[in-house]
Amino acid sequence: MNETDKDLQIASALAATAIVIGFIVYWSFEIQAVREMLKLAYG
Amino acid sequence: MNESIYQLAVWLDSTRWSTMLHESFYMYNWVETTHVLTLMISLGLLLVIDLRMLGYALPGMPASQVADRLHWPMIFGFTVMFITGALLFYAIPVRSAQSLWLRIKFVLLICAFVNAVLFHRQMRQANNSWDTERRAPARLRLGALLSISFWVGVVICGRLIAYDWFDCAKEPSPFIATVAGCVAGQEQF
Amino acid sequence: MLMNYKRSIFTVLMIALGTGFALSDLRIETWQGLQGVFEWSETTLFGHIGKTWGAAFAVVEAFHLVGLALLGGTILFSDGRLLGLWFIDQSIATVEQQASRPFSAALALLIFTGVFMACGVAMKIYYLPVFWYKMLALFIGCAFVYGLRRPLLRTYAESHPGLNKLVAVASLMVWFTVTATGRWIGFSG
Repeated sequence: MNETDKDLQIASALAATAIVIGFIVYWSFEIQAVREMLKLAYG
Repeated sequence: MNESIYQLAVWLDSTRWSTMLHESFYMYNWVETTHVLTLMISLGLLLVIDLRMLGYALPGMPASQVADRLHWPMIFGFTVMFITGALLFYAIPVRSAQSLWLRIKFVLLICAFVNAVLFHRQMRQANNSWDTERRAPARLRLGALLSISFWVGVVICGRLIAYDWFDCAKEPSPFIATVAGCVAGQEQF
Repeated sequence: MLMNYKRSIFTVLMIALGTGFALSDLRIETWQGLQGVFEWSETTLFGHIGKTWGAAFAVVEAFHLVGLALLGGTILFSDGRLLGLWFIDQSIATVEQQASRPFSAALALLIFTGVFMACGVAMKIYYLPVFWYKMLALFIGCAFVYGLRRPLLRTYAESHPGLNKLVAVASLMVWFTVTATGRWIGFSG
């Protein structure tokens, strides 16, 4: 495999990992916010 | 008929679960969100199949393969949509039962279902002889076009249910009132 | 040596700059700077139609949902292949190539109808954080698909099943976020 091929694969892996981490962080905050709202609403 | 539907809706409305669902803090929104987002599975895969028949998508893939393999995931999507749709109806039964748009939506759904059955029959009869061609035979293309049209209509009507232009509480014209199922002297809306 | 890794360096830079931007005051300043654009967009023809004719807004919204469905269908079709769920007898490059046109068509429909809808409710969405999360996810999704996913899968897909699965999961996550945050805009205000 030449270095240009490797470059595309590394870049894709980096971007995909960043998206997965971003997804987990964002939705964790959203779920936490919903839980707090539910606690306020129903105790 | 409209009187019976109204009575049934009033009874559904009086049940505890209907009130709980309607007045819940998030659950109604989640059910509605699931109903809308499942469009990506059900209608999404249906559109892929229909566009394949019309020659606008996946032209290099065998049409029968596309239709067969996407069939069950699509049915799963439609099942989720049906269940969540029923729950949305149950949450606000009187207004939903008397929604002009929901009634038109049901008619279009029946048309889409009949069209799908005919489409499948025609596909079997065609015996995949055109499988690798870019476009399906004319009759199947017509079926695909009708399918897309009915479903676009279903989505438009589904969206319009949220608007109250023809609600019975707004005392619409006698024609609309009859089609929407308004009942003279009704107390619940 | 480093010049052979331009894409990787650019990707790392974008992630670092994006994170830095999100955590700095520059984000607030940019947001404040965009207020004029949003105020102006409400005065355009789209803004006028969107605010005046509820029916037009609803029909455009329905077509937005149809675009969303098609986008979902093509994503499921191609990511399903990457995950090894279906069409495993077809090469990944072929599936990716076949799905690319309907995907781009759906995205174009979504952006056109989305801009129309945004003009009608510009100042409402300007103050909604969830709208900005959606825009961020949309930008990341487009950059990921056109900048990395497509060139990768069309050329080197067959030899890296692990990377393919990671790419598919990231794709599903980012487009789910785009659609779910979009639905949440409807519930806000």
